[in-house]
Amino acid sequence: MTFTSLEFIFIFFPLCIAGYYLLPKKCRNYFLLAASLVFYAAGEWKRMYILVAGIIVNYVFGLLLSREYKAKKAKLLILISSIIYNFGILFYYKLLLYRYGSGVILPLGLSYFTFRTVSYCLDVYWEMMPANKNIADVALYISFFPQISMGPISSYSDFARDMYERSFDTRLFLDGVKRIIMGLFKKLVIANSLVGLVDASFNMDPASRSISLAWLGLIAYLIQLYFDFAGYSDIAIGLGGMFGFTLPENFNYPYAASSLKDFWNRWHMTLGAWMKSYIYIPIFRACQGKKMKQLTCYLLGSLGVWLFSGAWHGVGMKTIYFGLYYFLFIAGERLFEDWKKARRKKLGLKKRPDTLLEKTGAHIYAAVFILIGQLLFKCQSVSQYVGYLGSMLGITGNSANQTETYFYLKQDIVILVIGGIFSFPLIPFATKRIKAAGGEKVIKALSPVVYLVLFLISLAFAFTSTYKSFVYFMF
Amino acid sequence: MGYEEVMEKVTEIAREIFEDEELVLKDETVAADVDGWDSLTHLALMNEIENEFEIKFQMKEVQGIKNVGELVRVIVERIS
Repeated sequence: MTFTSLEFIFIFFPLCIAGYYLLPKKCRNYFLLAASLVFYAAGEWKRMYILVAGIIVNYVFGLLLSREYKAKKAKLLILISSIIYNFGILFYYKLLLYRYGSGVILPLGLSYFTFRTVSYCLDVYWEMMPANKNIADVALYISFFPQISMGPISSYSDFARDMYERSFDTRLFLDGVKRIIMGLFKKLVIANSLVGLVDASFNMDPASRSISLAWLGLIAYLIQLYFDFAGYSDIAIGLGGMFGFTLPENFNYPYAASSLKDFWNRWHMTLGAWMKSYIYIPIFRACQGKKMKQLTCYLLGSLGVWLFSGAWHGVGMKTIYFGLYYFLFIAGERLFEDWKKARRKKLGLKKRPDTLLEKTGAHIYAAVFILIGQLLFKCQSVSQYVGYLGSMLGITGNSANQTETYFYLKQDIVILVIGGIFSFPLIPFATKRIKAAGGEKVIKALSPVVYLVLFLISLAFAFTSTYKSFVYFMF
Repeated sequence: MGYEEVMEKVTEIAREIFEDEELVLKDETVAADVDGWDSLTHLALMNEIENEFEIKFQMKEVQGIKNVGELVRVIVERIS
């Protein structure tokens, strides 16, 4: 049952909201847990034992990690066991995927609840939070249905705050409704509509794919990928809001980035935050403890993050390429910043804001390498990647144009334009301008109508859509 | 060393790291208020403070300190 399925929109979701608000406050967390387990069972009944075992095992790990031991290393050993247990299962499935190919399907949300279980154990180990004595609360954190299938990933510390202290907030609730509608629109109308074009371009062999189709296909893929995941995240954040949870944001107009580092601060932000807290900072601190140079600490921490990210985003050799691609660029950007800083110091110059030319250059640089990086993300193998890049450059003996380009351009032009507009912060910019010009009342009056129309359009697509999955389900 | 003195020292270190000679830190200052205070400079700042005051922060302090006031209080507590 995905968020965009009819049974979710018309049965599961209304029942959840009604049940939640009819029950007294002290029962609500239990109700959400029950709803989450039903949601999970509906999607993954056969392998649900992995989730249930994960809850029980990590509850026990939490209790063990909160005790004091005579032996100095005892706690560390328990921590390591917990990490091996949690990541071991994920690793096992990744191995299966590597061995048997794409026929293997990961258990629903395995990656995402693994991030949560590891966060729980580390937060308790670092004494950022006490271990939870109530197994139902641990279970709710791990299995919370708005987040279990694809995030956004909340750290245990953040989630626990809302779990105990939230109260009904009309604004959060209404914003939640809007976010869900936005999410449905992004996913059902924009992302799903581009699947045909993307598949046509990527399934073609390099010699018969024209330059124009290669570029069009890749740009369509960037829009599809972003709206697929951002749409899902909107729905998740909206659902959380309707139950009083403030879930973390996952996207901040990634394609408007001015560097690759900036891109990853705007794309799948909760994965970035997770890797920062649980990989980058621990490695960095360990290196600082060994009195290494700041730059060495940075490089090792960053390498750790990107090798992990690569391994998570794929299988086989591709994982290494993907990780190294971003590591080299982002480390390069860091070195460039350091060089500029040293130069300023040497010449006694002050830090100044970037000029328009520098800003434009930065955005063009980022756009080009995001495009190439996302292509690497999409391609199954290095040969497919090289072939596609070759088609884009016109060096595979391909033609400049073909009829398919015109066909898809005609079919998808509206979606591509809307997608392009929504990919950059143009709407917030326009709204701000209108508000500044005294048009706040107009926006307030129009907003319900706009959302209703978006909702109805999305529903029409939900009824006719044949494409049911989400891109990030496969991780 | 008292609260004021520690604040002064921390400000001095922060000015060096964030390259801002006029930077003023207050109790309620958070990372988002200071230009250039990201995870990397944060870790550099933590390291400089540790060296300066000869203390060692725990992970919950490195990741959990909410604002400058809390940071200074932790340092004062640690060195007294």
